[in-house]
Amino acid sequence: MNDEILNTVATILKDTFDEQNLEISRLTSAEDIDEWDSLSHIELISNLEGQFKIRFALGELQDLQNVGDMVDLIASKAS
Amino acid sequence: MEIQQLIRQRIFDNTFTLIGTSGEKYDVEKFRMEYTALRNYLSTKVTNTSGVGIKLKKDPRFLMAMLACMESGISYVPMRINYPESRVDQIKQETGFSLLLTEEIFDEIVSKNTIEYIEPNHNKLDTLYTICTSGSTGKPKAVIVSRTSINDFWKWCDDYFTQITFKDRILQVADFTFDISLIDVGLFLYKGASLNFSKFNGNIFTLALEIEEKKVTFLNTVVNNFNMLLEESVFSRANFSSLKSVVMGGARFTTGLYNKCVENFSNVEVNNLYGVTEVPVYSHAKKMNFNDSDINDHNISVGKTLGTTTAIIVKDGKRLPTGEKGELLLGGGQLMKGYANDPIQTKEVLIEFEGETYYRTGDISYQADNDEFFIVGRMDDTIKYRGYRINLLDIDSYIQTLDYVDHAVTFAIPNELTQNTTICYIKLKKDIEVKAIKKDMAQILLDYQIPEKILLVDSFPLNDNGKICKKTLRSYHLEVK
Repeated sequence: MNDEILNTVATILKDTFDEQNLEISRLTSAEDIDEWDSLSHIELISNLEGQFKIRFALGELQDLQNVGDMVDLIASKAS
Repeated sequence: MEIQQLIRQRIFDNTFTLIGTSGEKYDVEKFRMEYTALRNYLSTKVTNTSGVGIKLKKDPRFLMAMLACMESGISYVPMRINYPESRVDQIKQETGFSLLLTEEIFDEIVSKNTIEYIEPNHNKLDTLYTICTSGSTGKPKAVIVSRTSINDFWKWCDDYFTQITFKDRILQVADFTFDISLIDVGLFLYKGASLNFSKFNGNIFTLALEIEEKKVTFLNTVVNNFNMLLEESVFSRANFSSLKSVVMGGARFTTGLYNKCVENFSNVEVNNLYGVTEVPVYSHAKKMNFNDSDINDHNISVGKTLGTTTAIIVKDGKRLPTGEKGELLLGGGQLMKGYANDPIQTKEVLIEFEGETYYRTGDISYQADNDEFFIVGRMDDTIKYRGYRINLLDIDSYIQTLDYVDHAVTFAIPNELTQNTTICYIKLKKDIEVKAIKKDMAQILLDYQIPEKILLVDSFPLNDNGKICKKTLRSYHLEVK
C-alpha cells in the first residue's frame, strides 16, 4: 500500500513543482528540489490533502522531513 | 536608561524567562553565572578596538554573548552557525574582529572564568555591533552601528509598545544576524517579556504550531512570513488567538496582506514598520487602524518617523513639500557610523543636506498631509521604457489591486530595442488566463506600464530572511533566455 501512496505522492510533487522529470524516492526532501520552498510547501500539503481526502493536523506537519515521512503519515491516516 | 544599566538591571536585579528551541527553560542562576564569566573575559581579555565575532546556534547563549559584549563595551559581529569558513573570513577581513566566539570557545570561557564581577579595563567603545548584509557585489556590506542608535531605538520600543509587559510571550523568530531581532531583545530587556526561541526553518506550519503551542502574544517577523501564516490552508488549521500584537517589516506591506489582516487579525494590533539596516532598526512605524487612513493611492502607510529619526524627501538637490514624490533621506540619532573598511561607499550614501547628515535610502517616498510616509518604489526600480519613466513597484501596487492577484513582482531586463523588457511574475489566488489579466491591466495601467511578459508562479523564491529574492527571479529569466 505504501508503494502505491509513494507513486501518487510522487505525481503530486511533480505536478506541484511543475517538473515532470523529478526522481522521487522516500528520501527526497526540500533540499533536493529547488522549487520546494516555504510557499510551495503549503501548496503541496493542500494538494496531498485534496488527493487523499484527508486533513493533516498542524502538529503532524512540523516533523515531515522527507517524502517517506509524508507517505507514512498518509498511510496512517488512511488506515 | 543606558544599555549597560538596562542589561544589568534585567539580568541581576529582575528575573527573566528564556526558553530554548526545544522548549527548555534556561536556568536564571546558570545564565547569570555564565554571563558574568563571559562578560569578565571580554572585559579583560579582548581589546575594545577589535571586537568579537559571534557564531553560535540561535539560542539563549547567543543572546548572552551579545549582551555580554554590549555591557563590556566590546563591539560584536553576529554570524549564523552555518556560515561557511570563506564567509567568516570575508567578514573578519571587513570588520577586523579578533575573537571568534564558537560553541567550543564559549564553553571553555564560561567553564574557566571567575564569576565575580570585574570592572572592564577599557572604556566603552561607541560601536555596539557591525552587521553584515550580503551586498550587491558579493562582498559583505558591513554596517557599523553605534550604542546611541540602539539606545534610542530601544527607548522608542519601550514607549511605543505600551501594552507589552513581563506577562507577554515573544517568539524570537529572526536570526540575530538580522537586526529586526533587536525589537524582541529590547522588549525582553525593558519589559521583561519572555523570549521563546523559535525553531522555524522555513516550514510555516512549524511557525504556526509554535505560535499556538507557546501561546505567543507578540510576533515580530518579515512580511512574507505573515503572508504565509495568513494563507487559508495555514490559518484555518492554527489557533492564533493568543496573539496581541504583531510587527511586520523587512519588505513591502502589500494591499493583499492588508486585506488578509483586516479579515483575520481584527483583534490584533498590527504594526507596519519600515527601516533600513543603515538606520537601525526601524525608522518609521504605523499602527494599523483598518480604515481609509491606512491607505493612500494603493500604498500602505509606514507611519511617522520614530524615536530620534528625522526624514525628508528630496529631488534634484531640493527638499520637496508634502505630497510630492522623491528620494527618502533619513537622519537623526539612529544613523549608522558608516560601512567598515569602505570610506568610498560610506561617502556615497551618507550625505550632508542643509547642515545635517542623512542616509540616502534609494527609496521613493512621499509624505501625506497627516505627516505619515508612503513608500512607493526604489530609485533603481524606476526605469526608462519606450521613452517613458516607469516605476516597477508602482506597477506592482496597481496589479495587486486586482482581486485575483495574490502578489506581483515586476522587473526589467535591459535590451537594445526598447531599453528594457518588463517582466511581471504573478502569484494568483484563483486560476485566470494571462490574456484576461492583461485585459484587466489595461483598465488600471497606462499602455506602456503594462508588463510585456506575464509569468504565473505558484510561489516566489525567498532569501534567508524570508524576503522575495528578485535576483533569483531575474536569473530564472536570464537562464531561460
